[in-house]
Amino acid sequence: MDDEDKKIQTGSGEITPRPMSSGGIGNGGGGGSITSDELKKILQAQPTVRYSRLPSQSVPVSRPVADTIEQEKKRIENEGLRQNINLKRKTLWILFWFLAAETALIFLLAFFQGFTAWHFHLEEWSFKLLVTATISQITVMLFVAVKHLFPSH
Amino acid sequence: MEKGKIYEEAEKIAQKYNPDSISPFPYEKVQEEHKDLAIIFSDKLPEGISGAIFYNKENSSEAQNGAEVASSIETKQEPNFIILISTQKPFTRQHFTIAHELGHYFLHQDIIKSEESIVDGEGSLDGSKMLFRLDNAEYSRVETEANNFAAALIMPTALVIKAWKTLKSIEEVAKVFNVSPSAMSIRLEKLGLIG
Repeated sequence: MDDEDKKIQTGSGEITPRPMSSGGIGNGGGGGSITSDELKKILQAQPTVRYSRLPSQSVPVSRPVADTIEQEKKRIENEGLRQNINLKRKTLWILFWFLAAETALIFLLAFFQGFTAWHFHLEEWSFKLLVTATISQITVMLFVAVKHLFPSH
Repeated sequence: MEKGKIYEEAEKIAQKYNPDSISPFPYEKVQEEHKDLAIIFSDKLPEGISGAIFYNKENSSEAQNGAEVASSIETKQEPNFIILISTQKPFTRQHFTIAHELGHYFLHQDIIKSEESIVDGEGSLDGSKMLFRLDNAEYSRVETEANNFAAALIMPTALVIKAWKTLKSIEEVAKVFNVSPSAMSIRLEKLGLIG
């Protein structure tokens, strides 16, 4: 290769790279290497540029770091709130089905008690205790759930 | 050069070209002022190469002074420092590599001029694996200085501390500065924010 061939047109001037073995430091580590010919091809393929920007598809929006920190802080807080709401919703749903099942069971017992079906019979005091306890439990649980879902602050 | 002076130099340059602390770093403003510098993006660099900086003797001011100039338009200074960045790497890597190569440009012009180029692979950027032409210690020093410069340029101390105190997650803070979590964890470690 003569000297003229070694000159590389970059669009904004010429560059004459020496082979990395005789000029240039570091060949990248990390398993990569570059030869004079490869370098020549790479630079020849570049458009004429005074300065350039990163390929647009890979560049995130430029904005002040301080704004991004605030935005991220709010995003994390919102994310936390969203997770909290989802967890509440799930808990409430489980609670609802539990109370529904409990109510159905008490209704069934009251039905059996009323019609003495299959010779089912509870002492009056224990039946009253069961019904009162269930109604109290449902009332308290609903109160706690509503208070937690809609806190006064 | 001492680490403290490198940080000082990098933050001075950051203040000059990026007073609003924008991320990604608006390196094109550096190019606008430094007419001897060109940053070129290429998808043709070999896989292990993240970036490189070359000194183009043909375009140097000494060479231009000796050359006959045909018209006034051509008297503008051509870039004689060319930074080549691999677009095959993720954006965070490209962002850090540009800052690293700018570190070479601002700190090691004499070495670049004498060696004609510095080629940086993933190994030299994270400091784990290097191949040398300069002696080991010299090359290691040059790369470490460029890494420290890059870190201070795109991850300024005050903002990193603020972000860390607010977000408390390496991944989240890395996202804010458009760097990889590993680059951010090194920066946080050097600032004594993580163990």
